[in-house]
Amino acid sequence: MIKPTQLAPDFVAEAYHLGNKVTIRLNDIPNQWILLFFYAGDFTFV
Amino acid sequence: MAAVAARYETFKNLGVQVLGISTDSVYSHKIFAETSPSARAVQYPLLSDRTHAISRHYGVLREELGYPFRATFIIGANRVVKYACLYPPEVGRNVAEIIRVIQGLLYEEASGLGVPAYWQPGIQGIPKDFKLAGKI
Repeated sequence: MIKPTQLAPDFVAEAYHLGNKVTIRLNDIPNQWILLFFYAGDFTFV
Repeated sequence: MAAVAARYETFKNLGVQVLGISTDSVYSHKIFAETSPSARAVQYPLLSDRTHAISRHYGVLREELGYPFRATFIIGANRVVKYACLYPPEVGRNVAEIIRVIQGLLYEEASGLGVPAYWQPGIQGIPKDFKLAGKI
């Protein structure tokens, strides 16, 4: 697992955002803090 | 994820870009966002890790199930990971704690002071001066 002090691995992913299909690359996000959270799946509990 | 959506304004005000990610397709994300009462409030991008590559690379994929642990990463503006956390699959996240950690990191960055246990905004930090070791 990636740990604190390590560099966040870059990635490119398709995403759904406010009605649109967009492509997001981590390292293209401007100089900004990021909260990246993984969840089990759509339509699942909690 | 609805819990994160409920505090989205707070993340925005702190200057934090929120990204949710699962191994579902963007098509699933779309219908989820359009139909689920809890997901309708989601304002941040929902990323699709269809190949599992991202979850695997971050070390949070449950290989036998094809989906990730409930994992949270706080990443600094310089792309260094500051916080990494795995929740048990049975229990949802404490979003207030994630916000507290971000506030603590921003406070430490601005003040250079240590951030003690149970710190909240408004509480004074602790000087890290070695001479003070054993005196606090």
